[in-house]
Amino acid sequence: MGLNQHSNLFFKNNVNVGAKFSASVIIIVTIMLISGWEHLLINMIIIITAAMLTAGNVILKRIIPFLYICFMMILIHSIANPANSTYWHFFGIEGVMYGFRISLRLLAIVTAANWFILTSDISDITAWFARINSDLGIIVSLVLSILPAMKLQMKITMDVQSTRGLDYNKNLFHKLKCYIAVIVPVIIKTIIRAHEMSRLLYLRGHGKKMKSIHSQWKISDYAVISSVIILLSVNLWIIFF
Amino acid sequence: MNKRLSLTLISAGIVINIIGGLLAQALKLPIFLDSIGTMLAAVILGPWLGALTGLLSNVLQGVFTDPVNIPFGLVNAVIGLVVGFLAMKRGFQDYITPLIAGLVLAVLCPLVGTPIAVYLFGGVTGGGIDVVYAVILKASGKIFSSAFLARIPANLADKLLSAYLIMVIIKKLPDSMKGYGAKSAQ
Amino acid sequence: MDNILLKQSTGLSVTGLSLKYPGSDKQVLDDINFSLNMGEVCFITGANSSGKSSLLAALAGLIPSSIPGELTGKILLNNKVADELSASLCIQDSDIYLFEEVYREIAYPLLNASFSSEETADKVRVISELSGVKELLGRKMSTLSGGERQKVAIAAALACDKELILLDEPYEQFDPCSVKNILGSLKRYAHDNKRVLIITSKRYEYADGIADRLFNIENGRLTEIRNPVYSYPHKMRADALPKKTAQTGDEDSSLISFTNVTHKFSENSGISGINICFNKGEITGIMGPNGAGKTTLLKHCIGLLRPHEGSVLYSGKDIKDIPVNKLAFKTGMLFQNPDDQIFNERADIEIAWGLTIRGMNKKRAVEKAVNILDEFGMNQIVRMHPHSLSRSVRQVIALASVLVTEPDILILDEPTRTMDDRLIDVTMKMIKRYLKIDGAVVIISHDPSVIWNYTERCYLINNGEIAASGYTESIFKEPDALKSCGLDSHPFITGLL
Repeated sequence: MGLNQHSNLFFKNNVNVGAKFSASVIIIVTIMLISGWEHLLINMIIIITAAMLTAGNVILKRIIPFLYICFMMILIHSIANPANSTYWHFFGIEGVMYGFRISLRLLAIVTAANWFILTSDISDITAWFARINSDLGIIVSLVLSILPAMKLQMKITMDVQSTRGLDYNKNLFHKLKCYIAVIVPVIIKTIIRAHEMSRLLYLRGHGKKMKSIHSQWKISDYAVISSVIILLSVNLWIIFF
Repeated sequence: MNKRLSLTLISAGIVINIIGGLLAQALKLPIFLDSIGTMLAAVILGPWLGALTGLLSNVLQGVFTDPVNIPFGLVNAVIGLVVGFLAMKRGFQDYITPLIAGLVLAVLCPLVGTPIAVYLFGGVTGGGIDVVYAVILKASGKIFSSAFLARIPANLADKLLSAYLIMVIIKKLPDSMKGYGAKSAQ
Repeated sequence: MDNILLKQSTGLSVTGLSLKYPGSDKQVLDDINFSLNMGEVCFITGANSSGKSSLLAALAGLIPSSIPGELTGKILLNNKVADELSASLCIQDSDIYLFEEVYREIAYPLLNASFSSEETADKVRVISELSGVKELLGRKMSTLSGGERQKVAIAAALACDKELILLDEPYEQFDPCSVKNILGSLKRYAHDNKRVLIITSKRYEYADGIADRLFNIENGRLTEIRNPVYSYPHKMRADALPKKTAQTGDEDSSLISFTNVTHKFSENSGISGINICFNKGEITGIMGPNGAGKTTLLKHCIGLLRPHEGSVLYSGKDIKDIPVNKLAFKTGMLFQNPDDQIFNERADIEIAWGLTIRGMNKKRAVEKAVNILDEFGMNQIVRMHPHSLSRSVRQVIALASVLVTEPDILILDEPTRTMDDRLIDVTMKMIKRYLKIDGAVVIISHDPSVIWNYTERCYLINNGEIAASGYTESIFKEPDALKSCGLDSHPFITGLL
């Protein structure tokens, strides 16, 4: 196993989801407080490097799609930004810097947010939601169970309606009618499912006080939080001094 | 309407948002139709729970797929509020209410979404709309207004169509499922 | 009618239970009286809409707390008024569940009862062994088969650990051996732990050796069956069959034929080397256990799946380039679940839809729809919302919406899953009336009784291959073929042979 996979697993299994979330939030808040582009650039490099070390190269796959929008940002603002006064050919420097700054900020925020997602399992995130609020935890779990069933239902209904003669490939107006013919049975089934599930919740004892599970933070959690707070403090010091 | 049913209907609304969007893609429709679950939840459960459905929809999709969706949960929440209040006052089964909903949302959604889009993306979407944005920006010199105006046409189409779709869908539901939407113009 | 009410100090005692749903005058439950001892297993049989599920819902406390209804009468468990804390209910539709993880679905009631995670794990292990789902604990509900999900639902009901266990049609999707195993385990569980176990089903053939008491419910009235006769109706119902001569499957008379059709999903699943003919004027059956490949075969008939090898022919012509919606002109399919397709708010519009999307004028289409409902004797539902009607009626609406398009071939997918005998009879009569002289009917089922009663020829399919084919009467007298499909232990077969 390479270094990436080792650290990826370590972060997945040993750091508490709540800690990771708080760390992400603190990083994002830090980024939002910074305004200078050199400042942002350094932070972005630090964040991306740390993310790649702890989450693996997959984080790049999440960031790369945003490069197109960053490019468009820089292009459009270089041409049209109102603050443009110094020009190179017809690209305004102020617009380029505006676009560049926002791109750096965007990439840093996207990295921090995706880092949280890539280093946490779905079941851990669901359990964390449940710790925040038990109703929220139930909603998340129910969504995760209804969704695959309804995706299947959509496919089944599309098949069944086409066996009744529905053609999905005509004009736009006809396609809207197809939409209704497929979505209505799916919606009715989903609502019926919701009614039955509420009865199941009742029958299986929902609402009684469950043992609240508080998770203990370990050294690794404190380590992650501390490093992030250090990052924040250093940045604040740079901003104000 | 007991609490358990509200929980399951909110979950259902979130799922319908996702499925609605998937079906629109599968049929290659030019509009997103990914807030029909929020609208449905708002009609059945009322504005506040509808708004919650919208917000959680973006939060959950953000946490499980692309986190950049999360701040736009505010827009989805606004959809829930507007549709919910309209449904409580007028029901959602006549031909005028979806028109009102569509027009109001065509203005409110970009109003709430543009500041987020400007902050995160400089007002750019990565789509064809950017040409319109660039032109208006060059002409007016105002970032927020240009981004706002550029977003109105697509929103108008999407929200109006979604509202009318919801009206048709509500009409096809049995009365027992309609919740607040059961009130028709009497 | 003459239930002698024993004054019991333990057990379940139901007195004068009556139920009406709001907005309807129908007496859903009508003065129900019965009592059961702790440790007893009771079967209650009844047709669709007889009141079985409403009775269980009332016993479980769902009515009136979650489902509105006017409930009168008394339910006593061990001499105390039964409330929602005394019963666990396994609902009829096992495709509806709470959580995606199988473990959590079973563990949830235990966690709600404040057991620690270690205690919960122990109990889940015991319960899952009992209901045969131990190997499934690490899996996700959406990846399970229908039968496996039903077993998990039973396990979750047992996990609620209540004194009254209610199971609503819990084994519809099981193979015959599984049914016997589970019922045996449940009986032992009820007996050892002093629980009252009530199971409902459409027929009581599996009650033999399991049930201590047997009841039937019809139109809301409960009667005890004291000397049950465990047999299936075996007589060939001659009037259900159109009197036509069965062809031997030469090219000219086959409406749909499969030549060496193979479609593999993976190493072990799919169909291979299928050769079948559905001929004019015949009713053909396709029978096989769950997972044999019947659905895959069905999908090939209408183009939802295309063969990897071999070809599917309509009257001799390969259909490989014809899209599904065009094939629908010739072949009409009645699926198991009408709710997968019904989306209109009026029955007549729903039935007419199959015609309007082919371009027929709406007025004419609705007229035809009203006519066919008339012939079913159901013109009172013409303007009603399908979802305000019972599921059996919706199945009739789905059937009408297929028949009204006058297809050459009609394929029925597992009609017995949701229909009771009366409805199947009505269905077959209507089909006989509407089917063209040269039309064909195909019935696909895992239930041998419907194949025996209604088909002239049949094909046995097992593990993706045709295990036997020929006239229905001769196939059913071949124990080897039936055994290879695991059907030899089905109560209908054992009764027949």
